[in-house]
Amino acid sequence: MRTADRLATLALLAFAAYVYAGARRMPYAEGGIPGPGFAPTWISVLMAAGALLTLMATRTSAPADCFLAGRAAAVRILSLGAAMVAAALLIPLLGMVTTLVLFILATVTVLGGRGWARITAAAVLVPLALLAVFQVWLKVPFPKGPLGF
Amino acid sequence: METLQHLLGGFQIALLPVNLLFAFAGVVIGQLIGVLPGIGPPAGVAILLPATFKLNPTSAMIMFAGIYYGAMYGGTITSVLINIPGEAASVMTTLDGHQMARQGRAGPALGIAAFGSFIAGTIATVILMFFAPWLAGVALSFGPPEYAALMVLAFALVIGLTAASPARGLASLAAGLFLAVVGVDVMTGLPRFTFGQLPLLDGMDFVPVAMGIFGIGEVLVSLEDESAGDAGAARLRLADLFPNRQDWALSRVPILRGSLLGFLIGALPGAGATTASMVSYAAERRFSRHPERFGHGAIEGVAGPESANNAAAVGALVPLLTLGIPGSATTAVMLGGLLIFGLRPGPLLYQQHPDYEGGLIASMYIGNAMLVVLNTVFIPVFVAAVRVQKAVLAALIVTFSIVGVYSLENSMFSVWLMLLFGGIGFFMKKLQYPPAPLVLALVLGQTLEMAVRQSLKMSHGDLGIFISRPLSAALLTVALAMVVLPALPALRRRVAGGRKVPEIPAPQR
Repeated sequence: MRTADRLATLALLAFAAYVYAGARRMPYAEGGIPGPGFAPTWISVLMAAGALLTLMATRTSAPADCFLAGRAAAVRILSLGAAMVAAALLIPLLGMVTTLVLFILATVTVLGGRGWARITAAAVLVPLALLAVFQVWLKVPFPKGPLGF
Repeated sequence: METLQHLLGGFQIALLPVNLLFAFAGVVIGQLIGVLPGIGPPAGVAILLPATFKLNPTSAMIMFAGIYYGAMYGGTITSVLINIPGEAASVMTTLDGHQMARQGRAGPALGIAAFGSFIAGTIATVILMFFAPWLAGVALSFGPPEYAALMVLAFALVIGLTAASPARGLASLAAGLFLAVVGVDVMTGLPRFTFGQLPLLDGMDFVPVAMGIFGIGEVLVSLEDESAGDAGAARLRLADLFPNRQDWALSRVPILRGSLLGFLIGALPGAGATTASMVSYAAERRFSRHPERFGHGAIEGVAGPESANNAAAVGALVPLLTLGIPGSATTAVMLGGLLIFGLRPGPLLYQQHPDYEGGLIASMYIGNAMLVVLNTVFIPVFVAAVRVQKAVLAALIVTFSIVGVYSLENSMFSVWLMLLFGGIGFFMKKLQYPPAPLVLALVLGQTLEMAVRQSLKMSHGDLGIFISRPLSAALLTVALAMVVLPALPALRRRVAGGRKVPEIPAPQR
């Protein structure tokens, strides 16, 4: 956990440096009045201060538990993450409704859901209900796939 | 008298069938959110935001407020029955509530929580009704320096009160402020940190960020624990829920004390319902003649914190409605929603549209009454919801989130943004960076920047304007105290330690 903590603070420090460099390319003040670079400059300072103070605190804090509670937990979290990314990639190709039906089926199966009839019903009915609310009622045009929805 | 007239007008609005429907929808959804571990009130409000954009803002706010205080009721059920708080503000209830359940007294624990929440919610709404117009009147005299100072104070309170580590709170706040400056600078037209993405020219959209951090992030974190959410729960009958005379005698004062403490703590930006319930529990144990009963099924340990968290949910609306400063993560999401509706909460809105505020306050009386019915007559239904499989719940939350966030701009960019912030939210939670300062800073960041720039324009670049005006100086002094005071004990310990041990101890690795 402490390693993850340190990596996070170092990433934050690097990002603060990026924000500072970006801010330097903008006018800090124009005629005594803060310009577009004023806020980002001070934000980068605050970010760096937060990261440094956290880094100092992690040096003296007691060792904490592992970042994730075991391999099974990591598999569940990574599976859902991968399924979400796959869904975002597939929505423009297969359409919103088809993708979400597949997403629910795949996710519930991988995460250990029980009761096929109920899972299939949820996988079909929930995207259709969302289609009714968003596309029919709120007039949101969902991406369509080869099946026409 | 004027307040009562506003309330009467408010009831006319709140009792409109459409508003009654949304109040009911809000409290039912809130109750479910409270029951289901892995999703909290900020996530619930954020996920539902896109579905409300076609509504009128009063109906939407009535629903959101219902979700907020409904979740406070719902969180109790899992705390008592399966020792898992449905949401953070119900943590203290696990201590005595679950012990009561193990002793066969789950019914009275849930009953006193429902009745206590109802009484506290009603008392807090009465205080809000009389206190808010006064505060809004004071805020009308605020200029840009006072507003800038007020926002700095809100940030200081949020860092000091929500974060176990203020340093992490500061980092989270800075990240939120950074997100707020993304997009075209309104004063000069210069694009800032848009990463070559055209949609970012309009600024970082608040909803995908909030949905990602609170919705997706919470779902990912909840998957770590396989057991939570799949636990079975006892079946309850209506007759089991009513506390007996002795229970009432023990709970009367804790409910009243919890109501007042909860409202006051909730009204402080950053403190929120969780802090309120913790303070209430500590107070009840301190005032009790038998503190040894606490942790072993003392009903006061349920009545006080449950009343306090509900009163705090109402108290958190005070700074939002009167000053435009959200007091908690949920009210920050609500503020983001109102801004999308084109409404900026604050003293002007309060003065110019008392019907809107009155409707919201009146709906809270009605919502609390609905909730006490839901939590007695319909409690077996919500107990059944505890048994929803976590796998199904996770898939459905992500599905709602994807559709909702897509509908904002009809664009996949928002979906990708939400997934990105879902990942960031997961790491923030795992590494104990509090998300509330980030969301608060994202919502208020641009206003703070404008207030600072306007103030310095007024003073021709002289920073002294912030300390030469009494109110601004006072607010900044309190903000400074909020940052410095919590650090003093640690500094004192370090100095004292330094006297005893001349060498600086080597850091533990």
